[in-house]
Amino acid sequence: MSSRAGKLSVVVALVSAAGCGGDAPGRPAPPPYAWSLPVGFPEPFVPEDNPMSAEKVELGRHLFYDARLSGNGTMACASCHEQARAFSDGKATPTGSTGDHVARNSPGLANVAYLSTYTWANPLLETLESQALVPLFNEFPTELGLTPKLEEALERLRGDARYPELFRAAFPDAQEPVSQGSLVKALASFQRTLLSGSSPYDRYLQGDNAALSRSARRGMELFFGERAECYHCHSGRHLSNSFRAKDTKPQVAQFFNTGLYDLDGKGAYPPDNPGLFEFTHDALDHGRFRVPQLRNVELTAPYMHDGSIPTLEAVIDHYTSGGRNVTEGPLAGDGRNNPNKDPLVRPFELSDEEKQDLIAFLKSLTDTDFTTDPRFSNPWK
Amino acid sequence: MNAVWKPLSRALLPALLLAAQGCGGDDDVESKTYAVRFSPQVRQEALTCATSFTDIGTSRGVIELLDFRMYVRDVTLIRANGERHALKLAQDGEWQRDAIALLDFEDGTGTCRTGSPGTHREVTGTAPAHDDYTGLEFKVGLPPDRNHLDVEAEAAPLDVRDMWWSWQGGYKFVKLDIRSQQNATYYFHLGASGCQGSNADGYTCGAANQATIALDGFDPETNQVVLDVAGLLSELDVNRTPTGSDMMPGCMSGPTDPECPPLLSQFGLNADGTPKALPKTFFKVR
Repeated sequence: MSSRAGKLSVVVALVSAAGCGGDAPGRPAPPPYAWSLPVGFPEPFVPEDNPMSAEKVELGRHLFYDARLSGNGTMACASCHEQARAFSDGKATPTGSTGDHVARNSPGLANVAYLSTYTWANPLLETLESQALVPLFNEFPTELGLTPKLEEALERLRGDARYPELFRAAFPDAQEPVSQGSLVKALASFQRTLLSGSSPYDRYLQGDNAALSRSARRGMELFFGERAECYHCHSGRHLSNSFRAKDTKPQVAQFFNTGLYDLDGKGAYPPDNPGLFEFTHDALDHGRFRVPQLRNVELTAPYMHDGSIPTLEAVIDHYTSGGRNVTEGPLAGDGRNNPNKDPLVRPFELSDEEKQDLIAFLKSLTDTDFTTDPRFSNPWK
Repeated sequence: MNAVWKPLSRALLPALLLAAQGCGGDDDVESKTYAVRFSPQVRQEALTCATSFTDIGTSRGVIELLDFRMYVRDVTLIRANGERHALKLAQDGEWQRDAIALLDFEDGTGTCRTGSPGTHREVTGTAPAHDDYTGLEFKVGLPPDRNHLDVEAEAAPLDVRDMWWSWQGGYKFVKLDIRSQQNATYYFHLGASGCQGSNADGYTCGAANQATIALDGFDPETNQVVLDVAGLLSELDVNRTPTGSDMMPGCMSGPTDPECPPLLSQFGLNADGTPKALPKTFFKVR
């Protein structure tokens, strides 16, 4: 062991010596990225191989809104992630560019920079870069459908009047700046800037007691109290327990079953959407999904991983019932008895007024600065 | 560590010496270049991107090829006396690296719109020249410790984006896509599934789907490996209309997909990825 440690230190010394003598000549180190973070937000985690830059963000914004990024030129990221809906799409579940039915609801993208895993229940996607590959390249369901058409799509971009310059500015050291890797890095960089922190709730957290109505404040007490227990899963500033920032260690990702289904009395969810089970093959993980953030939740209806609950009122009814009993059709089964259900999802009583208070609190998470911010808008218009 | 290493090194030394001699010529036997040829077929007919093929599966459907690529590794020739000689693969910088080869049976023409122009239908490498090779063994796919690499950072043939499976965080070992009258794409993607982990900490997979294919009666000079797609699909309905409980036509190695067990079975795999007897319906010797 001691000799190995010795060798390591020699290597480290050599590397650092080389670093001192050989910094890239000519090109000064880029200035640190100027985050425009909402008050109280920590700096997000950024992978080492994709440092933030204003140029990458700008390129990513153009790509996010560009239908040329789909195989058949019909859809862009923005097709399922509209700014006015806090970057969700208002549909229960979307349809991909070639007509495939996508089984999972398009989530809102506010503050996705702080999630520790991406998509509804994939524990492998730990960065926005790895997530971006899914809508771009997935074959079933096909979303943007680039798998057979990547070269064609890159050629379309190379032939555009604006892109070569945008790519060159974003990736000045790349031999071929218009590439899959650049697409993914730029899209991830843009998404990291989608920060929502100007809602009435944020202003309240910053000390403005008048920012929340009386009803919203009562709702907040319910939300963070032991009767409704919402905060156990929807915790912290982003109201999800999936969290990672620059200086936090990656946590063990957590996934929960909220009793939406029980097809077989043993916990099964619909087979096209089994949740974490798809990755663990463990029957106990049937129906476990990541906890979504609740920023702008008023704008991201319908709800749940499959968009099966249309309104906030109905979501609250789901939780006060301790789950959902589907009485007919192919998905029939009593989710309230799902053996995998989180124990905190259990029946409890709320008066009508209390339900309205809870909804008033949830609506206080709506940030209209975010949904109208020109920095996040379609640059092609 | 030392306590283990010392006896181990004594045991290993003769083996290492033998291996060194083997490189020089295996008891004076010259080494020779062999090409293990693979032939995708529909029964007796060559599977190409230019034809449709009738009478496939339980509904006697009509299929056309869209894409067919497959990673194989550890290709080994077996002598009549049971002696095994792993092919030392030609390192061609494109299709073969270490003991891994990518077979590519489509040329990007005709119905193979998702394909690539290049093809690679045989695994070439050297082994001691013997005239009594009667068996062949190889594995399908990538070993678990190389299944989760970054496709963008890897050298050929692990740099093929179409074989990278971003959702599963690994490679497709086999990509065999066809279309039928009812299904614009009928997929078969074999790969490890149920994987968890990270590049930093390593992965564990619920179904590693590591298939070993052993074929008798194989003389590398005269025989080739037939991949009979009619046999592969013989128990399936390629015209099945997807339903609510199984929306995807075909199989992407999902543990509960009813179309997976008959397909995995043709690779000598149970639905959970464990080995079982290999039927001679898909892999055959010609």
